[in-house]
Amino acid sequence: MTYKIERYLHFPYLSIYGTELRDGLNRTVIAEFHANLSEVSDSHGISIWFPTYGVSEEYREIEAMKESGWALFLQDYYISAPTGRPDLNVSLVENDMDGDGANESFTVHALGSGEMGIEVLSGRDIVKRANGYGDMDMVFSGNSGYYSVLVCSYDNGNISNFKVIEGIVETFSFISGTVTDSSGRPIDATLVFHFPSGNITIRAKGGRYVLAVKEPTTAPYGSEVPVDVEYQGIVMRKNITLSSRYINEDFKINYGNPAIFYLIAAFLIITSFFGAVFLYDRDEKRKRMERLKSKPTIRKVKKIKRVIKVKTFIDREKELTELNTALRRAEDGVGSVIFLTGEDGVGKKTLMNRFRKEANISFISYDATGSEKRPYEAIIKVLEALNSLGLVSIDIKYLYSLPSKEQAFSEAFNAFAEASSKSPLIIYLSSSQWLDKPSIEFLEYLARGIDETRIVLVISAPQEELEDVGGKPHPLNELLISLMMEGKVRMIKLERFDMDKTRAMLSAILDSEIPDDILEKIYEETQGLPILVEEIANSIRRSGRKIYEMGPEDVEVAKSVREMMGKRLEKLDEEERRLVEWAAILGLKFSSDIIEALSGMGERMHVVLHRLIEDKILVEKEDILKFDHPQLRKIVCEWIGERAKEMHEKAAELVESMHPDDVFSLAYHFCYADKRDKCLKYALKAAKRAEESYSPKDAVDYYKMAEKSADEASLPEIYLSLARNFKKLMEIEKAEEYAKKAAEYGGNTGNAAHLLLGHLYLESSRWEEALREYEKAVNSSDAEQVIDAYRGMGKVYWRLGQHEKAAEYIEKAIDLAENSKNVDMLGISTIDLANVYSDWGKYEKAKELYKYAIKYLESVSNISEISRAYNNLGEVYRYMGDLDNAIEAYKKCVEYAESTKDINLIGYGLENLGTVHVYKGRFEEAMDYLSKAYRIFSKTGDKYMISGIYMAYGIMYGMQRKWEKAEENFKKSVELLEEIGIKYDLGITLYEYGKMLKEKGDERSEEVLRRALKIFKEIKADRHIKNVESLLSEGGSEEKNGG
Amino acid sequence: MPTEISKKIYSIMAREMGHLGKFIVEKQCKDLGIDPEEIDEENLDKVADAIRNVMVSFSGEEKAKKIWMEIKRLK
Repeated sequence: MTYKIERYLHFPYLSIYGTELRDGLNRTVIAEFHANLSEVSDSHGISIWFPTYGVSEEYREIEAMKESGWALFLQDYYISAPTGRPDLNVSLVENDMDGDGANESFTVHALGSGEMGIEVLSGRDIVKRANGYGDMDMVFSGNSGYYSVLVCSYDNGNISNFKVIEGIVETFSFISGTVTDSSGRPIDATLVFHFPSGNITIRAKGGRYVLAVKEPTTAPYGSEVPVDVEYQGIVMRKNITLSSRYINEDFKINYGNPAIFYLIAAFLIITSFFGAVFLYDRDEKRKRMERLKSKPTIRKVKKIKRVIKVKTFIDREKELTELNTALRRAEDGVGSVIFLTGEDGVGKKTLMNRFRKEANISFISYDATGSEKRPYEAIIKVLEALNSLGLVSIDIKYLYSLPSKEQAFSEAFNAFAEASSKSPLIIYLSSSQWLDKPSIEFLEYLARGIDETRIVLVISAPQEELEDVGGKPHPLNELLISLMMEGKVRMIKLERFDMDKTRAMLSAILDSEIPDDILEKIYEETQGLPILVEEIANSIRRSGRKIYEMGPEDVEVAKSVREMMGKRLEKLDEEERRLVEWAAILGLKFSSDIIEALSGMGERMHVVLHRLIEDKILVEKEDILKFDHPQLRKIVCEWIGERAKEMHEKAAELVESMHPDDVFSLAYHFCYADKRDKCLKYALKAAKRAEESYSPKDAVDYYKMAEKSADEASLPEIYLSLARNFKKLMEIEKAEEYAKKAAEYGGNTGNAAHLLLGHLYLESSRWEEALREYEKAVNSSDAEQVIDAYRGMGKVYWRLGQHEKAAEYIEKAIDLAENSKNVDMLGISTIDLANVYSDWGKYEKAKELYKYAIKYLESVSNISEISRAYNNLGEVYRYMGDLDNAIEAYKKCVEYAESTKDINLIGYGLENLGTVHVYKGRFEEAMDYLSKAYRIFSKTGDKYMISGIYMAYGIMYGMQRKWEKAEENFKKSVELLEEIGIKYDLGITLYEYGKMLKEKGDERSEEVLRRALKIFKEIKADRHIKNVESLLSEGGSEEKNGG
Repeated sequence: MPTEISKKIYSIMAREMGHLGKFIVEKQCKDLGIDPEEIDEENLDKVADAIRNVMVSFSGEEKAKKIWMEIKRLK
């Protein structure tokens, strides 16, 4: 909805309001048609919610809109259906709407008062515009397409109302008629229209059908379209010509008359074009079977029906409707995420293929295998596809070169948004249970902002494969849960077929009606799982036997897909087996050049490969080969058994000579070949590359591979790297375990491990252990490590409120940085020292130090740290009550952060700007900054920063004496901080919350403040203890002056 | 030990939602301040309503209602 409103604001008179509205819309979470809400009495128009935080379902958010003043601008405007407001009368007169798709013409007649405007839009483009007074007409001619008309009137230069009508010039051909049996009785037949852009299936209920065909997406005007009419297993094909806008076509299906059957069968043998008509009559079925057996010519009929044979898509109308709804939303500018699930073989890919054909728009799919060689493979492949389609132009290497994951995500997100800016885009990720964690992290980022794009993201995986991993939820489950709680994902679950659908599938593949006893047997064995039904039907077809010649005992039903896959493999000859074994060694996916070299078959390999593709063992797509089903590879690997080691060795050597840069494959093959030296070498390289692409999970996997082949000399570094990557993964216990192992080796690696342990303990508020580790780390001969250790010790004392000692240690770090001429560290350590003075209340000194730090950092162009220094300088000004200078400093922070696209720092600056504006009482600007910050942090999932935003809203509503909203926000902040376990900030939020309650005169304030006090005592935050105690003892003054 | 009702709710949700089911129950109970292991007749309605609310947007009104009714019948 938000997009729609924005899209209509093109008039020059609207430009000023448009800018303001766009800004407003950035804060808008939801705009909603009241017509959909039974509980709202006035079911016209829309409500636009200006929430103070995140998505909420509470109507009182509208109050916030009133406060903001936006209501004044919006209250007069309705977006309505054509029968909307009476004071602006719009009508359309068709001039030449003959439905031929060319130069369709109509007149827009607008009756209002004073100055008016009419605008015709195609998508977001204005295709015609006119201004006038009072009663005005505008004639519009255009080719078929989707247009909308905006009409508005002005009152003293301001818009007084506007109205939008959509989709009025779309041209349709209407095809309608009746379907009857041979006696003229109407029947509920199914009609399948085979348009070039895809098939459309409709039901003729009570014999009547009507189809509105959108031009020109379905078929060119005047073209012929084949239609299959199906009733009770009987299928008749007929071609109809799209000769006019209104076509009447009746179908008579010869049901129940055996004599006609033979006539038509004979006709089909002669023509061989129009498909076959089968008679089906339950009472006479057996008799007819007998006759058929004695009439061999009938077999020719079966050959004719190739069209029907390949069509195994069976009724998934509900699911297709759901997907099409998502697509329509995307067309309106609101993308969405769909989780498509159902067990393996239930037809997820088949459904998506059908959706793709029907949608006929950009469709990108990626099938994860779990053997991806690099992190983010899925995302990169999709981006490459977007590049190749010309939808975007993004340099993948540039993404990797960005200094932080957030920046890379932000750039990649923009590329996705751009790719869908012109028309909707469907991205289908199948077998997503195999996606690597980094790719899932990006999907979360994309999903959080997807409603700003026109993307339909379909993530598909069988639920049963989303088991917990190592006691933790499967990463995809984590993503789904988090999106689900925010209402950002919709699930489509495919169920197995019932008996009727099973019959329909068998019938479609075997071109024959299915005897009940055979159907029952197949259903019993397959339980309606489409892949098994299909496999059995195809095996019957391949055997050349006729279904009506078979009894239930002849149906060979495998117990599982595995058995079926095994059966497929059993048929392989010696050459095929050899090739398929090499394929299994190479992984689920591989390129043909490697397998050609490995097989040693030369040119003949292509012949064998072709056979394997024909036998559905392998599939080829864009030069990449893969197994048709993962189970196939698993079975082949079992055959190979102990020979695998030798084969991996050969593969490793070949990859080394052909693709020496493919360190991921090299690590994989050399490690499986048990070649320790090379396994170590390539696993380390692969791990480093994974680290460079912010994939700690993959880095851990490769370092663990390396660990198994490592000698004593390489172990300490590997342990240290594992500790660092586990820390990044927030797996603190494992990080500690490996850091301790590395520390045992002593030397500089040992010192680095002590330093890391110090950081781990500091972040866990384990002060004494942190100090002990830092003290060990200062023995390092690496000056930078020593500086870092002194900084760490300073931070411990700072957090303990021992400012003098904190300053003493940080000054040591500064001295060392000066002596070693390490200007970077000098600047960074100076910021640390300034932080201590700021917290100490020595604001002038802190200000001076931040300015020095900025100078140092400017000399080495460390933009990120300069941005941080400005942010902290802003904090000092804020504490001093100099809010104007604080705003200037925060703005500088945002400016620098924007130049490096560091979205976290941008978010910090915006959040602080929001908070300062709260203190200044400039609530509208505050909300603007805070909502922008919220958008950033909700995408990055930074709960810590989101908690700060809620706290700021809490303070703001408290200042406005809107107690209920204030309390609601404080509670959300507290809940988040409790969840992530950050005590210091929890104490601060409780303090502000308690203060608000006290001001309200709420007796719960004491309880909340005592909780804050308890926390501050636990973490020994003396200054804050004083603040809380003074508030508890009434009339207390605050040390911090926020304005 | 989880109550019989808790066990049955977990089982319904696992059947409908696979591994996600468990997390949905836990999260909804947490928001309601109810121990997911101790769902009883008294708090069953609240849990059923909360699950229904979250399921509507995820898998549609039809499925949400089906689950809701099944849970309500555990009383």
